[in-house]
Amino acid sequence: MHSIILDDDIMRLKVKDLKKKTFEMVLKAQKGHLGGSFSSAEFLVALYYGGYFSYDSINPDWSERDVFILSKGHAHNLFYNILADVGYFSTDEIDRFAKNGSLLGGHCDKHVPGAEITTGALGHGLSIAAGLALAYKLDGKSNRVFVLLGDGECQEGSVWEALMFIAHHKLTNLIVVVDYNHLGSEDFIETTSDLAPFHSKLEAFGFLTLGCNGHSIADIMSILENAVSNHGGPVAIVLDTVKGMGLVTAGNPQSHYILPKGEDIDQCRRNLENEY
Amino acid sequence: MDIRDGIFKRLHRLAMSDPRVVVLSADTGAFGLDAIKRDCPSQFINTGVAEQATILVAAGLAIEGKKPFIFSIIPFITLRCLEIIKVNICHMDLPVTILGLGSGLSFSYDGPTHHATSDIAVMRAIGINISDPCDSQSAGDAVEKAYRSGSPSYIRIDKGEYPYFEQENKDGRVIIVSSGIMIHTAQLVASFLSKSGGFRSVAVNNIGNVDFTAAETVVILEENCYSGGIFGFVNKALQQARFAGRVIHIALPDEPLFLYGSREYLHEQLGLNLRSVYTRIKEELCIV
Repeated sequence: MHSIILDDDIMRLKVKDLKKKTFEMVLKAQKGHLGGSFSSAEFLVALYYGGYFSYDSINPDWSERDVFILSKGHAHNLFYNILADVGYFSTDEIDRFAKNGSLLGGHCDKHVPGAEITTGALGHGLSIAAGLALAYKLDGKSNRVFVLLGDGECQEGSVWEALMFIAHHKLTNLIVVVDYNHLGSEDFIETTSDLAPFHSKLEAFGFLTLGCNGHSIADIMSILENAVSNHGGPVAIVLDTVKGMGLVTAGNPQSHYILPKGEDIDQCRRNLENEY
Repeated sequence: MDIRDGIFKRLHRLAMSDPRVVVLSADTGAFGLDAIKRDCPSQFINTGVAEQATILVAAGLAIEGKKPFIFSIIPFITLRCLEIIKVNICHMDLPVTILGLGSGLSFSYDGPTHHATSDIAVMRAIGINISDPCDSQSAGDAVEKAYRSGSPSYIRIDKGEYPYFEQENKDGRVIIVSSGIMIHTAQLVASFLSKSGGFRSVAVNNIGNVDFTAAETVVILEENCYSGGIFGFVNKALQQARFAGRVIHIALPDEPLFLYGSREYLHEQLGLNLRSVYTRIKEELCIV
């Protein structure tokens, strides 16, 4: 196994460092999605540096690895930075993001080392995660599957088909994580097709549902520790987050794909510097 | 005017004049939609990230006399929803129009999840009227035609400003049939080769008006994969015209394109830029 484990304080600095790198990457390319990256930054860092997720960046196909599926493919920019940081590929690829002929495009595909599947079309990842988890269960393997969904993505019907399947087959080796940042691409989910009461719905579907502040490394680490314990049934984690945390547009619909301009760029940089 | 503005300005006008027009966006935005949201708020619904439900809600609205226009990104609102569109829009012959954003490789940086290179053949196979406009004028006309038709319609929306394409119904020795923005490439190639005689550029939707009697070669040029584009439609027309000449098909490969960069870069890599198309046709026809 070749992975990195950091303590909580160092992980906070890692969040800061990776968000700054992600911001500059997107700004340079003038392409990308900062909002979804920044709402899930703490979770992604806690997953990759917290020790509950086993991977080998030197040998991405290591048979005993846990699997992470970034179903909300729009968080690709920060995800790419993590994959580069833990050693799946050179940070030179980050500099070449979205350039002609680059490895890293506007959504994550299966050719990116460390990315298990192609994502970017929403509502696909959870069912694939269910298939992987079922395969591990059938083969008596102990690999875990983590999958990160967006709350807007949970408006897709296929997500609920997968939830029923996971509960029905008691896939306790699969941890469902939802980045609940209250925003889709264009508007608040509360305005378009509200998911509330989300926790109750997940519980009604058979999931032990754990919630926490998605911007607190300590809370996420504590909830991951709880989630990986055997509860006898499937577990879902709902992260309460702010889309585009750190951006001038944080928490509003402009945070999805509209890039900062003019004075907002420096304000965002100051925000990211002072966040941790 | 940008092709997208051609779509939304006409849609805005229709929504203002006919309260039966309802615009449903599956959480997809466009600058031109803002005027409809502002001026006709009760006729605009963001249905959330739920393309399949959006199609079915539109079907319900249409059954009760509304004229729904659905807006989303092409792969998600076509291929993802295919059986739902087939049964509940096409088989029920409902006046629902699907406005699909991102023709061909226009989402060039976003990878194969966002490319739309097989939707034409697939949507044609389930019996929907397809428009693939090449400029803002034809985009607006496509919206008007869909509104008036009362039938299932699908309009592909590209982006950018392009010159108005005026169709000539002359016969020709070499006829380049194309669709969407590739029409402009076809037209330029036809003009560059005009000294070789008889080159014509034809939009695929106008193929029924073309006289193939004098044609020796038909070139099909498209920004779709070989099996996913206009070939079947053109082939049917050529059979009906008893065309016995040569067919050259210039298209994208039948495989996902894990290639990132500008659309121009992708075209260059995949043989669809002006120079490649020009050279390919010259070589195929042994023009020196």
